[in-house]
Amino acid sequence: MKRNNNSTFFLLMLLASIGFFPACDSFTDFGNTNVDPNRTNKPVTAALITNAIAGMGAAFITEGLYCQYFAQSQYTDGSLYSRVEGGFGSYSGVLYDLQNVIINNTDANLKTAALVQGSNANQIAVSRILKAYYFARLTDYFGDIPYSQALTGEVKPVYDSQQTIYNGIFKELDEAVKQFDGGVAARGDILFSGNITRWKKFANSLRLILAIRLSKADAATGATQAKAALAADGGIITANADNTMLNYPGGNFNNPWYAAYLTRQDQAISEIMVKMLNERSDPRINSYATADKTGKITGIPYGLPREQAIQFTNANPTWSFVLAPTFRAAATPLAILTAADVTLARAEAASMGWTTENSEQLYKDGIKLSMEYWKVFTQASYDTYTSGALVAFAAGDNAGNLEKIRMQRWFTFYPDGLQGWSEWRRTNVPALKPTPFAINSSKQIIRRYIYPATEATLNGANYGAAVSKISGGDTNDGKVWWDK
Amino acid sequence: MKKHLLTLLLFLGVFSLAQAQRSISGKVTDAKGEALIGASVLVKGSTGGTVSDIDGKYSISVPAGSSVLVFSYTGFNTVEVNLGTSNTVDVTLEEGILLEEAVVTALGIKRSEKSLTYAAQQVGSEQLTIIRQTNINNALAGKIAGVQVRSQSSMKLNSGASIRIRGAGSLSDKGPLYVIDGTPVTNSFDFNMDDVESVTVLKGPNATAIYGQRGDAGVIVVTTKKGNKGKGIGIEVNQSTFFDKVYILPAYQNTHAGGGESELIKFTWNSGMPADWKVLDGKFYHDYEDDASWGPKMTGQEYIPWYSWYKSDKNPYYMQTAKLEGQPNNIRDFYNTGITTLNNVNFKTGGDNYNLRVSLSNQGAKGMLPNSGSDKYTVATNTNVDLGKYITIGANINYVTNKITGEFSDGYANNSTGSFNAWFHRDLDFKIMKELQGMTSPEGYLASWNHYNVPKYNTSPRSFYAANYWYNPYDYFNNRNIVTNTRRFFGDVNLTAKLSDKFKITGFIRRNEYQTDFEDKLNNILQLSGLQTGYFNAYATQLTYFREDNYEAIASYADKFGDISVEANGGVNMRTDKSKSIAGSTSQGLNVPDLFTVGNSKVAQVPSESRSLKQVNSVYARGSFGYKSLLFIDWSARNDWSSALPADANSYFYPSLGTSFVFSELTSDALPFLSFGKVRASIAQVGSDLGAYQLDLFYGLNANQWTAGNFLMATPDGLIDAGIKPSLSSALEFGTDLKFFNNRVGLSATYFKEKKINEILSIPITAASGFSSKLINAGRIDRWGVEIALDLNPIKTRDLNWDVTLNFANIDNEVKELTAGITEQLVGVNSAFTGFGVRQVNVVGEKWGQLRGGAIKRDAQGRAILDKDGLYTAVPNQYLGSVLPDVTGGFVSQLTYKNFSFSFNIDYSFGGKYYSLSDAWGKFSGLFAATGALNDKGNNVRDDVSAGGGVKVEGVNAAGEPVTMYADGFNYFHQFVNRGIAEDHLFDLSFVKLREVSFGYSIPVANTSLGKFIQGATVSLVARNPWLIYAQNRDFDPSELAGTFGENGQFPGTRSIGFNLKLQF
Repeated sequence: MKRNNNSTFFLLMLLASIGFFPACDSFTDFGNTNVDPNRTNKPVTAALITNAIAGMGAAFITEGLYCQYFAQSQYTDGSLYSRVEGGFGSYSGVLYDLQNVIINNTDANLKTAALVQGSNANQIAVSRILKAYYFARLTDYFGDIPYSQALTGEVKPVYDSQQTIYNGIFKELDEAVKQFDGGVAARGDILFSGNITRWKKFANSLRLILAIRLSKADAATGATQAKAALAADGGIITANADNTMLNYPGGNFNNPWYAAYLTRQDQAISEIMVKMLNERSDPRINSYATADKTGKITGIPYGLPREQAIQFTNANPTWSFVLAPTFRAAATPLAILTAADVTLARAEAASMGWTTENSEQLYKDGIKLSMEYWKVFTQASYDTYTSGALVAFAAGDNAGNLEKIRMQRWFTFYPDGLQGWSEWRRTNVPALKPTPFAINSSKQIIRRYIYPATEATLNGANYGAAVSKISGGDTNDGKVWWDK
Repeated sequence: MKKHLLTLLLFLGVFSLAQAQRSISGKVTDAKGEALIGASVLVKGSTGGTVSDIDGKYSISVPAGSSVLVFSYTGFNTVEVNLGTSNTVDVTLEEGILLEEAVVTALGIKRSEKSLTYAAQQVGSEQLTIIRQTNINNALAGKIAGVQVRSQSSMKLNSGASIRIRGAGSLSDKGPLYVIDGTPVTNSFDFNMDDVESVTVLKGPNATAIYGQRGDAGVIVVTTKKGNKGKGIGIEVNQSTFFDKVYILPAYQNTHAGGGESELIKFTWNSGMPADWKVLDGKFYHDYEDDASWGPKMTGQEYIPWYSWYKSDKNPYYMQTAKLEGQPNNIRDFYNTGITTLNNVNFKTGGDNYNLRVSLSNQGAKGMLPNSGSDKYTVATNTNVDLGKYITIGANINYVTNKITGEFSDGYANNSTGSFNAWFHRDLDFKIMKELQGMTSPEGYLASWNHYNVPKYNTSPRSFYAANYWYNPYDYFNNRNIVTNTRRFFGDVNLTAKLSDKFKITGFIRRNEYQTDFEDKLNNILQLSGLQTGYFNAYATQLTYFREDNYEAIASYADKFGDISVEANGGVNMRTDKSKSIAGSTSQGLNVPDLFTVGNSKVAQVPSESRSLKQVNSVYARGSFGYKSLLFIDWSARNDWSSALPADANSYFYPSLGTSFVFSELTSDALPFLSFGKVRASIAQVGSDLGAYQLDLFYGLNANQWTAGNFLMATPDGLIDAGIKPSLSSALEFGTDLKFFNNRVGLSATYFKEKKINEILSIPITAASGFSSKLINAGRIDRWGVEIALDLNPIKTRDLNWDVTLNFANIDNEVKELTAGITEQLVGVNSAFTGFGVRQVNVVGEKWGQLRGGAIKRDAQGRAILDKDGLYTAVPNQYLGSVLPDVTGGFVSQLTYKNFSFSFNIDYSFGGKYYSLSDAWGKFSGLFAATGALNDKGNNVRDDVSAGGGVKVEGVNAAGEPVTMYADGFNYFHQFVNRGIAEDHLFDLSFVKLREVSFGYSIPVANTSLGKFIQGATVSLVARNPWLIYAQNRDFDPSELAGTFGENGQFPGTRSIGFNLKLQF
């Protein structure tokens, strides 16, 4: 009997000890414990848009090496074409932020809450334009990339052809421009401060630039899209006042060229660039590079092996940095797309017969706009420049004139290496030669970026299918679709 | 069986028939005064008997004719006591030969080994403190079968080793749980090894099930020493001093100087330069500004060294030339001799109803890196007091303060190894570097070996004198002050209510909390003196607070019904994890130089802060049934509720069941040499959950606004599977424990197979999805293996005793399944360089932890395909081996002869691979020996191929024909980085290492006049890491890799020699 008493007592005590703890409900129900106090689960769409715009700024230095805008002063492996791999970070970064804005302004349960940040349509339109801009950047690096199934949470998105992506981008830009309504402009707009007309000009201008990129791969679509861009509502960028500029506040958000030289000083303007500017007496050279105390600009020869680069910099210790100091201060606005870029693109479209605009006039206007942008315009220097043999149109020489336009486009995109490299890949203008000291197997200039190495692991089958379409596989030598 | 029934009947018969008897009671304890639970008490000559209860107490009826009681307990010597007149008989049992037999198991329950149904290897303090390691994980290396200890260079002060128990059993690489006297702690090194009585490693779910979700990677149960009344006044003093020197360093080339220019450069003075310099006009210098070592051949020729240009009172070499010579020992010369001192004083006492131990320790270190050191103080106390018959109160209180000073980055481009093994000049003399530390140019720029070449002076003095990429490393470390102060409290107070001889209930309040105060100050002179070094005058600070509370109640029950013994525990636990941190740092410099406060930031910064809370509640029970000493059945069950899981699926339950059969009880006559024999089997499940706040997309704010009101917010990159549920592993384990020849030989063997399913993992996914990772319940990983521990006592005489332990484990695993459509999981990225480094990947159908990266393209016969320059072609994304070893183990030998003792411990590991980024850059930059070696023609590989130089390569050409070629040395060693070939930098993880050696002498004080005061005195000479016996590549110590994949620039292996003095009063 004693034993039984003990057992009962034991059980009672066990129950009593549990009784010390709060009631059963709170033992298994934790209420709001798992709600993060540091962060919110309700996104602020305006802040997502701000984040996406802030990401537009980049110096594109490596790309600028491939189109020979720049040269390296010390470790020259990049300009000798060491293996280069791209990243997909913008998908999960800025692109999904934009997708998220679209979701929050589309989903029936969310769109009302989003209205406080601007009309649903205006937020969506802005997001679609920015998405198109970022997708164009991405596809120009790699060629085929995930597009139709991207940004859906699908862990194995298929790779779409670059042609499909370009058509998708044109469609997005077209529809976005038409989507803006009379409601409140999207907040968080650090690019145009809610000026919808300027959004339209940017979208149409971007559409024109991308249309011309199809000149070899699909000229018919290119011509159609170029004309559509010029005719679209809102117009295109025609004056420097309309330039798409990212206005850095300085401090925590700095002009990328300021950031590049903040802790490094091994990038130079290339000797080739200096030579070509000088051959044409281009006044922009004083803005494109940093002169030494004596006012001299010295480019570093492009693609030297390390030993020769050291010998050169020893002999020329006052070689020139990229951009004049006033163009790379912390709060210097960064050009995303300028009137000069757009006007020269129109000149090229006209020269190719896609439009009936006056090619030569646009060409000269473009040069003028560029000189004004770089704050070197004087009538005299402009006249000298445009009348020079290497710049002035030659009557009847359509092919030669087209090449001059393309040459000017390459000059004008400086220092945006991605545009410079892309234009060169499309046109082979200027006729850049690979460095004789190339260290890659092909000894050719890099034509595309290798997909992120993680893709083989994370999305193997679709990656494999995309690679099988690239001549020579996933190397830096394959060509993207529009690069013929 | 019939015989046993008969015994049972007889046993019952004795009870019922005996009339004239007396009742004897008392307590059975071990030498330390601790109660022995379940000790057998028998009346000699009869079958009457009982077992001691949970307090070691017993009560037995003795028939009138009997006068002797026999007390026995597994692992202890049996004692016979003649009964006198007293009816109270307290007995102290001495431990037998095999200390391991009484094993501390989950919940701190001390159990006889025979009743255990799973492998639980225990290490006593003698083996743990062959040398006084400062970290428990290092102290375990080689001593436990199936435990892989991944140590770190002791240069990284107080950076612990990590442990993998039974290989990787999880898709993530989880470490074990540490439980000190019942209190879970997250950190393996904030207690002092002098306070540790024993460590039990609970390896699989079978042993750890009762610890629940936190024990799924194994549990390390630490039992600290308790107070007792011994001889003397109970004070013990321990003093150790270690001297640490660099041991394992890469082999460097010593033939070519620094720079990227293979010829010396002629200095030509011009009028823009200081007039003093004219004396050097026409002399030569090597390229200073390129930070690799592809410079001129060093033949003792005259040159202008880097320091010659600085006009300073400190510079005796101003405007002097020197001889350009190799510096074979320069890297070794850089490091200080580290000095580690360990002091411990402890006091213990005890009585009938109390025990007390207080221990004070100080561990101080002068680090091997400049401006580094540590200072740690530990107070550990434990007390137990019986308040009358029913209530016992106890407290374990530990308080630790630890101050660590120094910069211990061992990643890419760190300022010691990150320079020496990646970007450095092989001609540099560290004696001069040390002599000239703090020297500046007349303008105040710190002198650097990596300043620009002389013509740059014409641009500005700073562009010449200041550091291009690297400072004099002494200057860097002297001007970077990083201090981390940690204050940790852990322990418990407990109250036991003993309700009867059979039942007691104990309540615990446990806490483990720490506060960390981190400060990082970088002096302005580094910003001023650096051109491309990337450093700004800066300040960063962080305050972190973490607290884990456990409220626990455990009921214990033990009884015996005839031959059936029963013991059980039931418990309930509430756990709360709380953390909070505030951090601030400056950006782009300070407004007022060297005023270290966040508000002084050149670009205004908003401090960041975070806090988190997680709760887990649990109910559990475990128990054991025993039939005689023959058969045991063990069971456990636990249910957890976690706040981090979805509210509708936050509960998970997991049981375990095991049995052991002590067959030697039946074979003692037939097999007299078999002292003990047991087979055991168990099955178990264990669940696990995830961290707080992972079930919803939470958006963080960028504290810095673009412009007022325009703030930034990014969508989180982790996608969440809606149906997350708790994970479960299930394990099956068989084993046998055998002891032969009067316990002189012991063998324990275990086979286990474990299946982990539904593990909650954040797996990387393609960013194209819009997210970079996805939280999923990942499929399944299986692991299985064999563990063998062999204990030998080959010599045992009065004067000489030799104990040997051999451990061996062969463990394998396979990733069986991830999630729908995903067959590869990216685990870790070689964070420094993905393009040519490796990534760690889990692949379905393969062993965990595959290294993946660029390989050399080969033909079907495995011959390398060479291009016309004799260089390789890369094949990207190839599997290059697993990071897990196949076989691990160790060998411990302890020999005592009279007053002398000699112990050592060897640790080994075979199989597996690691990647070395140091090897990649060391070759790229012309630093490692291979880049200055002689080829088969006897010419330096750097010499022109046309002159008989170059690296000899064999393979096939593009046409598939076998070729032997000589590749240009510079191009050969640059191709691996430039073409993305990781294969060249992979090495075998295998090693054999003598980790610990101790030679001790116990001074026979008892026979001297000191004997009155001193109970014992021992001096020992000890060595840590004295000999890396085997490694494929001796440039690195594979037992001390900084990362699971390998290393990114890790510190060298070190070796310590020291002495230890122990006095007992």
